[in-house]
Amino acid sequence: MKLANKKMAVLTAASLVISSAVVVGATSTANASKHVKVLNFYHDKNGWDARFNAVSAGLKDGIGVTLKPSTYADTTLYQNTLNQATKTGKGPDLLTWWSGYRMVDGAKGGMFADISDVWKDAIAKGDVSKDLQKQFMVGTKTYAIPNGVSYWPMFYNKKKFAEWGLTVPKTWAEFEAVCAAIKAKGVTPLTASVDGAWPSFIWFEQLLISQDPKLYLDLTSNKIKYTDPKVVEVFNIWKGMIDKGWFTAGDTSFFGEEAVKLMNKGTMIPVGTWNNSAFSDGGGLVGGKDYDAFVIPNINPALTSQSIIVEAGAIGALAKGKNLAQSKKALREWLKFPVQAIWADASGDGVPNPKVPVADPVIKGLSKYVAANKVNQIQRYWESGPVPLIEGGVVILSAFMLGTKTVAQATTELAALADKEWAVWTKKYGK
Amino acid sequence: MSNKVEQSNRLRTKSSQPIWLKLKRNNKNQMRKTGASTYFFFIPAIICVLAILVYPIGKTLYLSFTDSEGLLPPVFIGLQNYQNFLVDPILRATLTNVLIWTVATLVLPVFIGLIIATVVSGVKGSAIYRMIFLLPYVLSGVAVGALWFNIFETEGLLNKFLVSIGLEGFVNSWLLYYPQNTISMIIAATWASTGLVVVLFTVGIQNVPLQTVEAATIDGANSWVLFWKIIWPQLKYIRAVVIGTSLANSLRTFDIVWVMTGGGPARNSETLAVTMYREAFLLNRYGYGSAIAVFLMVLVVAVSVLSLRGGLKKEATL
Amino acid sequence: MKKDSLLKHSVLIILSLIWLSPIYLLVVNAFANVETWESNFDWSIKGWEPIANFQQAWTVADLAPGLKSNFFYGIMGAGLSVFFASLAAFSIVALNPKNKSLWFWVIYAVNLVPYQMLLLPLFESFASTGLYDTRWGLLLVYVAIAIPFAFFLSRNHMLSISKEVVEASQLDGASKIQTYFRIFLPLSWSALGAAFLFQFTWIWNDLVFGLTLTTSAEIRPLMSTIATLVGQYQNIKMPVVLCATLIASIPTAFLYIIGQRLFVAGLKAGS
Repeated sequence: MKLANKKMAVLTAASLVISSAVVVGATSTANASKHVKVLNFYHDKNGWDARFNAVSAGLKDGIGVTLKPSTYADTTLYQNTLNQATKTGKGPDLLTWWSGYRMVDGAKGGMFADISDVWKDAIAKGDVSKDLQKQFMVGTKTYAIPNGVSYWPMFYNKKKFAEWGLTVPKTWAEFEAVCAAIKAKGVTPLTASVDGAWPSFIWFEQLLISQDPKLYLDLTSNKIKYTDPKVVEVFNIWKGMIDKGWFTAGDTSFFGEEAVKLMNKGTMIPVGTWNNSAFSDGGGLVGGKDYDAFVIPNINPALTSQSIIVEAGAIGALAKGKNLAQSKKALREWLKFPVQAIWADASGDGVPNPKVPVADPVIKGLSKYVAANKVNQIQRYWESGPVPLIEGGVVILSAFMLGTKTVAQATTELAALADKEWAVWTKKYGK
Repeated sequence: MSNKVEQSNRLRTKSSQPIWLKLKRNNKNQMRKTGASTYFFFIPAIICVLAILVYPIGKTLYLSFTDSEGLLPPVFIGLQNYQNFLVDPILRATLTNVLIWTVATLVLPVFIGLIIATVVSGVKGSAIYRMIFLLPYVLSGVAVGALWFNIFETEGLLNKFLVSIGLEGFVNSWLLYYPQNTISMIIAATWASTGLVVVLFTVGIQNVPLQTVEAATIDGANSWVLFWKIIWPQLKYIRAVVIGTSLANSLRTFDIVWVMTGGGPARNSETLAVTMYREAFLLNRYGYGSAIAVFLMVLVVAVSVLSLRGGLKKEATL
Repeated sequence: MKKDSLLKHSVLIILSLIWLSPIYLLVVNAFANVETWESNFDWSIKGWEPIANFQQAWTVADLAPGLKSNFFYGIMGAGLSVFFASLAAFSIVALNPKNKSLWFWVIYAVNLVPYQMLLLPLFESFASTGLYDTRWGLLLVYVAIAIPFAFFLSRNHMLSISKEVVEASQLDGASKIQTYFRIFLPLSWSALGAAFLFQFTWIWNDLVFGLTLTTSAEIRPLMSTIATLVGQYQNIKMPVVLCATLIASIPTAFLYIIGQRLFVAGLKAGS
């Protein structure tokens, strides 16, 4: 290519690039109409933009405020970006988070705005139950509203149960018999996973509360140690189930389409009711007919009531957010009937507002059962301890599930970790 | 080109010139001057690099001497973090894994890439072959992660394949236990990055003058002699790029480990970058994590300096 | 000679088949029938619905803004970084500045930093300088991070340009810029082309910098969107996700195909 031609080519290419850059770079973000306030809403729930947009429409009708949701595909990065946003004061108006212990750092560090007045009003108007408030409180103040309320029951394939002549177990012995029967049919009875380490707490917490919810609560509040004989006993029960081959392989996933596949095979799945839409919408299964859910029976027959794990995500307002007043208003409106009804419909899950009728048959049945039998609602392990303890704990639990650590090793290491991290926690926050 | 060489020779031998000619010549030797304009050429690069680097490195260095955690204000604690890291029980595992990854990356993608680049350069259809080895590099991380996870998981494609050819005994949970999870991940990483090495070596091989190759072939040299005596010496500079980059990247192995095993089980497959990420991002222990980051950076710089100095002994630049 | 060639081809064919098998798996599972999809990858072809799956991927994933942004970041980012890098490499190789070593290491240093270390401080500095969630801000980061490798590659390639050529150009009276454009650039075409391709691909596939430093859909690069298609709360079937990733990979693949002319084999003789 002659030099002159080459120069022409380079110039043409350069001008094309520059003009495209100018065109693309000049695109400005769309301006919302002036009388509707747009609140920036950050979350890490992949696929929930549609739900949040539905909520946004409800908020617009109610108080003339809309949400602009931004999905952060990586949860860890999300949390750190928000820490940084809190420190620099440049962040969203509203954000999703986790309740319980996971909120403490944010509350004390100035991430969340105090919305105790929102709760006061909501409780007074019957929009939310006072029982839920505890999980969102740090000290005497409340810092977030619940983002749905999910139970962790055992989902099962109703059709397969009928086919195999099985009934919903009411005692632990019956539960073990059901597991053995499903195993005999060549199907793995229960899901369990170590993918990402966190799922290892699912059976840990479940077995503890089935043995004795007080045991779980004492353990997670550091009143007893992981090496306590009663805790070791639960680990041994767990080991027995693992050795009988009742669990799926550690790298299986148990939500979304994977859950549907396992459900169709007949495997029982302990997972949050936030996964319910995967079965109904995603899998096309009919709740109450094809699949249903039951509360896992107690191991200890002496207990007078059953327990179920509850997970409540949080939605808070950034304390230094530019539109704090509107954000608080939005949180109050979020708890009211119209928006809660939208959420119930969009999520297929339970909602905090007791006035909203539950549409989904499975959730309806479950909620009825929980209310009628006064089932204890216990907070998830994930939110029940200092973050480094939980994060380190699930690593040890995962290793135990894979057989890389024995019961003795796992409980000893957990106890040592708990000692270390509770000491750090107490030093930090003096509790 | 030969004209220019003749010209320069002519100019060099002419010592007795009229003064005005000498002056003209001096004006023309503009390039010889190491003036401000020389620096003008690398100012854009320097500005960009410093703008992005200065604050993060400075901040990380600063934080490594503090107990910065979460949203709490940092408190200066001197070398405490570094001392803690040196006695951290994870240190042995994490350094061992970094060593394994570095050796494996040097042996596998680099070596295989070199062989492929050489062989491909000499055959018909080289463009197609190169494209085949490059395709993995082109795919997005989500696809590569999902793909290899599904290949190696217990209910996955590799085990299905083994069962189908009657090798049930070899079925394993490739990602769940150490060291097979590291080996599996190294295989996936090799698949993804060999194409890059192939292209780089190809760029180097192109520099080999065609006449030299033809002459050697006519002289009866077979492929092995051709490679070792003719091609290999010409790859000196590209070799430095490939090895330097491979070392720097393998010491910092993170993405594939984090996605496929999270550093588990029981943190067995953690590399230094994973340990750093875990402490800083998962546990929000920014002080401690920064110390590990500084440690990693020093390690990468040291290894790079050693490897580059060794590889370019003749080059006066370093 | 023919036996040599046969051996070469056999080795290449075997290696190619090994390399292609995961691609085969990707394609087969991306085009599998979504209705009968059993949420497990399979070796066999379970339905062949490329059009339907691509269509669904396009509608479900909303890839348009990300694709647009990616072209900007990729072309501008790779282009500028390679240009700046080649200028710097040229000056260090041909112009003999003082402290060559220092400048080399300063520029190369970015390549040695663990990238995670950059994320949060960059967020902080971007937030305070107003560069957060802007195209030019993210572009600056991409350019800066892409420079070192392009610099290293160009510099080492330029070292192989003989000194006589440089001196001849000097004595010929060429200015620095002329030497750069007339001699070094043409001779480094393949190295710079390779650098452009690699950095374009890196920028195109970036996830973490996009996630940390931007938030609006119009500014965010493509992978931030693609990564939201999987996860605990997502119900999208895997074939659709894989098709979305294939859509995302088409531009880079295309770029490599047309860029192949840069890598004309130098060893055609004797094969």
